[in-house]
Amino acid sequence: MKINKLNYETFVIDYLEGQLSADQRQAFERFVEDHPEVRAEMDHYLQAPIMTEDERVVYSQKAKSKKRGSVLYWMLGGVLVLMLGTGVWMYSSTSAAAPEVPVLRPMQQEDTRVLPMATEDKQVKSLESEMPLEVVQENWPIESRKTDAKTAGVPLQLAATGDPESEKKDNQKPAAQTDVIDQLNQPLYASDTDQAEAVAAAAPQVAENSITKTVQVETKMMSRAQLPAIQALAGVSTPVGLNEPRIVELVTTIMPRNKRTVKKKSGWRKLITPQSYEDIDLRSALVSQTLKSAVEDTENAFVPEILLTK
Amino acid sequence: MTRLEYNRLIDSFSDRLFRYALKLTREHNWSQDLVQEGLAKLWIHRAKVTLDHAPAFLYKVVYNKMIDDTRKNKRTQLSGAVPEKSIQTSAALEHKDILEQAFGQLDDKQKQIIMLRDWQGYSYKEIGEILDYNESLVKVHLFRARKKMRAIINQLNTIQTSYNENQ
Repeated sequence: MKINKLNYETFVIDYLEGQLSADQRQAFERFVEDHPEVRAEMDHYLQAPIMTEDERVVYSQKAKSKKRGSVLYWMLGGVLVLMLGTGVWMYSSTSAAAPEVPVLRPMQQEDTRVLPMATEDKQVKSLESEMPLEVVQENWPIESRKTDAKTAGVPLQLAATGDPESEKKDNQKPAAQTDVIDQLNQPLYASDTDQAEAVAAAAPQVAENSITKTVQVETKMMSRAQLPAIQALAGVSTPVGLNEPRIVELVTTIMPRNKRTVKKKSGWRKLITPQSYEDIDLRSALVSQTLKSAVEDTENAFVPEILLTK
Repeated sequence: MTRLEYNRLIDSFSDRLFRYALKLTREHNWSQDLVQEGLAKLWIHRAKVTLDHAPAFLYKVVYNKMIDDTRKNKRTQLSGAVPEKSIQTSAALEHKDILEQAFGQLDDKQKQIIMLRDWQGYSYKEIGEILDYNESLVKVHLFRARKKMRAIINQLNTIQTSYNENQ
């Protein structure tokens, strides 16, 4: 490219910075010799001051310009954690404030009849001394119990009269055995016909609350502390003969009803007690072919059932 | 560019960008608006702009925004709009003031090229990328700008000298 007055400015800086090739350098030097004014311009260029910044001038909006997204995320996360913690706390406090509930156990559909608690201790104690062991065993089945004392009339066992001396003896008996006797102190029907009528009459009236009462009674019956007394009264010694076929029968017959009972009232779902868990564990154990260990661990929970079907 | 890099860039570069805008506009608030606009656009395009190219991106955005504002608002505060007859002559004129007045006589392109070259140390190629010039044109503008500054400084010095002699 030939250097002339129109394009020489393109080569000035490169010339001064030594960026031109040898040929271009010689051509530019010849051009400058022919045009002395270009030399003066080059001197001006070289004498021009270098501009410097005034560092006292600063941008005052730095804080506003910065992005603080992470802080917002942390705040949002904190709020969520706080809400979650509050929810858990409220749930736990609500659960703690809930009244103590009776222990649930598997129920049969026909067992929803009311088994009135033994509130008349005098009658119970009067019957205790006169109640032979054989009678207890015969009358143990829950199917033979009355649902409501008023509708069933005078029970057969209550016809017996109390004995003050026997009451004194009762006081000396173990508490566990007394409780069991209380359970047994339920009026019996004079006949199967009376029983059926009583059940039919009582069922609509106690449809809601009967389950709770029944559970309370059965829970009391199934107390481990009462087990020796129950066994003594029933004439059954441990082991109670809970064998593998029996366990399978219990699991297949009781557990579905138990689940049905729990689902029947949704409010009861959280009331599942360790007793129910034992049943569930037993079922799981059976499924996993660990029958023997399951029997050893949970057989006491089924003792009343064995007695009932004995 | 991450958020952390963006914030660090603001710490390290926003002052220089503001001074750049202030040199171009000579208006404090307008310069702040330009810097904020540039930073906002950088945040929007942070996925495309790397940290190394962020300053050039900001210079370009600020310059283009200034041009747009000038066209819209018909602002006349650009350095190129300052008439030569406005050159101040006083006994108190110091070297720094002479430089500032000489710098103010340059047009905006020349002004930018000098700032980018002297302040940021950009190469001619980088300056060309920012201003959409080719490298040769950047050199031509830089040569003319420095030559012009030198001429103005000489003029101011002559006036200053004669003023002092008269006093």
